[in-house]
Amino acid sequence: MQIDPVSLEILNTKFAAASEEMALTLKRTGRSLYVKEAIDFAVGLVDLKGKFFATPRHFGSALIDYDCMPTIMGGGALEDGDVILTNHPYFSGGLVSHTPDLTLIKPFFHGGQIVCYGYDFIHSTDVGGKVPSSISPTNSEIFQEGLLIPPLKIKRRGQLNEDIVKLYRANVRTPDLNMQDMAAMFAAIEIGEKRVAEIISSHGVETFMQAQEDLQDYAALKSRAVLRRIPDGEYDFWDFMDDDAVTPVPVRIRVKATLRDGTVHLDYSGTDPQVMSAYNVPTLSTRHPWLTTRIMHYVTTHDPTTPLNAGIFEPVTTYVPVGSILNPEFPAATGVRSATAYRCNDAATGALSYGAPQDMPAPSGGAMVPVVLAEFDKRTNKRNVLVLNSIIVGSGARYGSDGYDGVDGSISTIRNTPAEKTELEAGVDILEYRLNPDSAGPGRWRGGLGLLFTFRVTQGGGAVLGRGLERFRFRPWGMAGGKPGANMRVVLNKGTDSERDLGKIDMVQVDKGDTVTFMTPGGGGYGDPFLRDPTAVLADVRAGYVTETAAERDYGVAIRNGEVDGPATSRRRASRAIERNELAFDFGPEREAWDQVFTDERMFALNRLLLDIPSSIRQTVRQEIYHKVVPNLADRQKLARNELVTDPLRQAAILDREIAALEEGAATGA
Amino acid sequence: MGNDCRVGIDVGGTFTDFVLADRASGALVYHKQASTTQDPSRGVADGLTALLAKARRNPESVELVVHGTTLALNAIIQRQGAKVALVISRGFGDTMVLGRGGLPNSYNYKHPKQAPLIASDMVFEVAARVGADGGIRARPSAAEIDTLADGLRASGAEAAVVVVVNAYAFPELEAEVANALRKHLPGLLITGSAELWPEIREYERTMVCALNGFVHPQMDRYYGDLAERLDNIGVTAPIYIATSNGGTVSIATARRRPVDTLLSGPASGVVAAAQISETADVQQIITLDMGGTSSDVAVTQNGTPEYTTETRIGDFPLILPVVNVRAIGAGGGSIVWLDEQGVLKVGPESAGAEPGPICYGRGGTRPTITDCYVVSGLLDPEHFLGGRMPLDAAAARRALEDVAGRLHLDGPERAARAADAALSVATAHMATEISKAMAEKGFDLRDFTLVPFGGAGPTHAILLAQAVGLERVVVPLAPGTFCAFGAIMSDLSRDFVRSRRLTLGFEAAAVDDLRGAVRALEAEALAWVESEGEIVKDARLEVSADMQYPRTAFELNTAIPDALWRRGSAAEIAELFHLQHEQLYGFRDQDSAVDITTVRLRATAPVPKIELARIGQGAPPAPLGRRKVYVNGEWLEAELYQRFDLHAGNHLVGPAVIEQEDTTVWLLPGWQATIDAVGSLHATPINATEDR
Repeated sequence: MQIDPVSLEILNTKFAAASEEMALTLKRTGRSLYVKEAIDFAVGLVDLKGKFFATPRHFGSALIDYDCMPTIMGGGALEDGDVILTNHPYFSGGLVSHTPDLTLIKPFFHGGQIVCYGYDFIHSTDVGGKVPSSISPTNSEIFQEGLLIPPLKIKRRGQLNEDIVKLYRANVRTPDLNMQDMAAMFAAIEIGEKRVAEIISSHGVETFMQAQEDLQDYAALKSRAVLRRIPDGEYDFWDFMDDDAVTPVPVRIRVKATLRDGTVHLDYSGTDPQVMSAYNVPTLSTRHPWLTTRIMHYVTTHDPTTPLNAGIFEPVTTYVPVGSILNPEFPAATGVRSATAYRCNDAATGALSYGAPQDMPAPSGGAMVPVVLAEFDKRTNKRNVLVLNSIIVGSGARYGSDGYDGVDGSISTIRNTPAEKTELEAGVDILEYRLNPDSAGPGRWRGGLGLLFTFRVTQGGGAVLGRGLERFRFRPWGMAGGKPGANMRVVLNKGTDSERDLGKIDMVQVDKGDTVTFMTPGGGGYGDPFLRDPTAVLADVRAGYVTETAAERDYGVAIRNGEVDGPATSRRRASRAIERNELAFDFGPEREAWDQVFTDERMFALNRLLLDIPSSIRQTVRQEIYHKVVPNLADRQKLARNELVTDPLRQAAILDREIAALEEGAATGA
Repeated sequence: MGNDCRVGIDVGGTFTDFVLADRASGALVYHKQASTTQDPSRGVADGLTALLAKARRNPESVELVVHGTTLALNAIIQRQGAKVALVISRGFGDTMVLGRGGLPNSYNYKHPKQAPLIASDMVFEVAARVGADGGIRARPSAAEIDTLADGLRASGAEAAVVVVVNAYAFPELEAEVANALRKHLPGLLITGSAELWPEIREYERTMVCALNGFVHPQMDRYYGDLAERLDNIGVTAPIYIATSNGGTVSIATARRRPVDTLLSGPASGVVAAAQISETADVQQIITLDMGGTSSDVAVTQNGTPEYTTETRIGDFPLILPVVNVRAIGAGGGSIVWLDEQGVLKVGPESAGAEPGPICYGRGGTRPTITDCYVVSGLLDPEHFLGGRMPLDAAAARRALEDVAGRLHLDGPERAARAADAALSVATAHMATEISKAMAEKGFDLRDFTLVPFGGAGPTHAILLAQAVGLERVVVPLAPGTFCAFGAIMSDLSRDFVRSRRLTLGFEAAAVDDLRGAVRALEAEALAWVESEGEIVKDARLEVSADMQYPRTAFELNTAIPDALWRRGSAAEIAELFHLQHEQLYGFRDQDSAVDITTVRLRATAPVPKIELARIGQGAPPAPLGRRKVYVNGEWLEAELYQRFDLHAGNHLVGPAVIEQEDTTVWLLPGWQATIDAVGSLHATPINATEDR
């Protein structure tokens, strides 16, 4: 770092503020719900190498680890007043992760030279394609996800390219709204440009250029200092998504973290191949924010003064094999990549926790579900599609603290909707919106509780959608002797004779009077639950967060007449050895059964071979193998009951045979 | 002499400030007294006695006392309030835990888990529920009420809140439950959510009531003591209490609704600044209130402060309309430190009032902004608080020498260089926060004047103005007691609300419903004004509505002129919204219906104004001396003045230090100042004036 430590702090403050002003301007002038309510946008200042040197702390997606260079190069020779537009995940080199994220980059000039770039994106309401809003898990190709815009100049020397605008408007369902959002994006970038000019005028262009570099070096120093908390070593971990939305075959995310003196290498080899749905994460073989989110949060948690710039990731490298779900080949669909990123974050957490178990939280409940009702609106005579509430999960426990209840801090921080607001808009009565009892992973520190959301439909002919439901099959695991959180459940007419577990719904028809209940998982627990303070267990029982049965079973705390029964508790707690191993993970019985067949070794072999098969038929081959090994995948009932691994030895033998056959095929070039 | 004095009182954590305004002469008398935190009304009575002595007036001459306090706010921030029980519709018992989701800090997964204001063992679910259509979905039996009352009694609750989902629109069932419980528990304060604030959103409405209940017993007791103590010293004038919306209410109202008074301190300061703006001829103001632990800013345009309905009280959201005061970071107590990489930082940690800055000599060991002022010569260690509190400059210097060492600064003036560096970092931080606050609203900074108050505000204001690019700073005559002054300048004012879904466009009856809703609010407001006492007359009513295009989730608050809500058509009222939307977003959706979600009414009854006394004209005083001040890497000889020696029309050129009992104005080199007719100091950059 060449700039003195006082000026550096002043420029640090000014850079961050410039980016925050961009975000505030975008939020103020943007129009769509994605901007106003979901804060689904980002802004930043980008250096001449295409890296972010300033991003806001209080707004927008914390996606700092992008490489803007392919998009900047895609714009060709740049002049003052030019603005590059793209929404193309592949042609932008991974800067865009799904098509609705309309992205702008503008070069900022000083004295005829580019001194940096301004960047922003907004999740647009719709960019055309197969379904309204452009995103559906069942999309299989990016061409179904709307108009594709490679990096091109939407403005030349300040003049809007009206032809592109015409083409764009003709291809989207909400042209006016999108153009208003685009105007807000221009306005935000202009504020950034103005602030940059002011900084240059008070500090000089040389200091401005040097500060871009120095502040990244500064962040890198901090990042490395924090990462040195994790001892050197190689740590393997994997986690699962229930399925890929179009088949019942699970998706496995596998990572090896290699720590050396405050540097981290994340190797995602062994992760499952890309899928025929929209769950693919287009990282384009770059070190990518969706792969490194946990590392950023690790650094900012342990040194809150770390500037939010690309320097944080300087000690980090990544590798993902091409053709994997985390590095799909064009034209794989990517619309719902966030569901996969969730699990990717959990896997990275697990790997790092091998090195620093007391620094890492157990995973959250692992899903974010907008519960949607499609109904006929008597007021407008139109079909209404409404989000009744955004249902989230509990946070994971960590050493020293229970997880946050009904809030997930790991990836999504979306807000819920008041029942009174929902009831005004939709034909439902909300019967319960509360914490889900016994959903938290038990532990010395328990996970945060998941949610329980029940509504009664007051009109006939409607349908309920719950996209993004996860963790039915593979639970949020427990750490250091802690237990996993509960599985996700969706129940029709709970507590009545016609009660029925709906399992993982995409869309379900509902009649007038039906109730639907979403029960989300809590976070994983930390530490042996038999070590939990009995008074804390009693408090949870009194609050209705833990039932008396679970208190005795999971925590070894006997409660009689509303008080802790000391002797009975001591007896119960003496009945088994206390788990004190900080590396004792509990993945739940479902996952343990699965792992008996699909061992890490077999999965490595299988995925390596699958990646050698052309992507066009890779999924078909993969599914055939899974169905041969797990015939019950084809049986809805058994699938719902998680009766998948029934004869592990036999199933493993079948898998071995299939792998051998693939190997043979590869060897003979068939 | 008649009873023609008004007294403003502001009870803070460290000091209680007093202002006496003599309406006949326009003279103002100030007093500052140490707060008595254990028994706050004692300090008020003692201070008031001292003030009257200083002003040579007897207690009977006081016609009005206006009182503001941070007691309730501090109780919430420190979580030291009453044990409140929540009775809420079945299925919603975790409302206080769930809030609206989201985490306080998404970059820190170790952020401490927060306890809800009402613990889960104090929450009682009840089978009482209204639908959005007004239909009763569940009504508790008499037996259930009995059981509930037993539970409440056993819980040791000191206040109880009853919340029925959808009671904002259909309050009858909630009132029924509250009344039934009152019969069982006659001694307990029981409040129905719709009685207090019938606005849609169950969590936020519950929070208004919970906060009210949390501070109620304590504030009720305090106001009772206050009235009694003032009576004992012979002050029998009516007592009004400053509120968060920049107005006042009678002490009776404040005892019922202490939640309305939580943010009265900052709000009063902003009101005072708005008053100053009239005489100082500035329309657009940013107030800067810089105290020990933080600095706050607020925007006032044409005498009207900016309001917000989204603020936070400690860990909790508050939806009541309040003057929009934003924290911008560093205060005098903010700690100066270096991180592991050797980069200089200021805050967010603060030494507060205890132990306070090192120079206070109360056990503080880490250098603060105030220590920087002392070491760079901005504050005179001998004359702090009028000499009542000498400062330990040597200790401050030693600490900053240590900072300098770690910054690799050397030379004999290294402590001053470190102080200068820390002040630049703090200033840059505050400046960018102001710039962001303005960007959030789309205001153009260059139109604004900075009005500083609080202990450190005037010391830091011109540094800050220079960094932000503001070209005018107006320092009021008595910035240290500005909030107390604001209190006596405030009008009686209260907000009324009723959420109602009305659609302008589909239902013909919607406008009649709107008129009905406003009339109901009007009647409620006028009855309230009537009950508030003699001092106020003729309330002014301002009606507005939160409106939106259907299915969009954000509303605009749109003022509805009197004639329009009384007689206007749906189209005329919708046009108000279309127009505002167009101004903000550049387009309108003319064919769309417009939803009204919430109707608001503010009743304001003006209190007769006080004319500020003019200070005399006179020749510029000779400087009292010179003081060495370290700024921008060099020691300068600044001229030293006493604020009360200055006359109207006097002109000063920086570098100059202007001292007064409760603060110090630091006029930077390159800036000049003139004193106006009421004693306010107007500072501008010398170049800027030449340009004009």
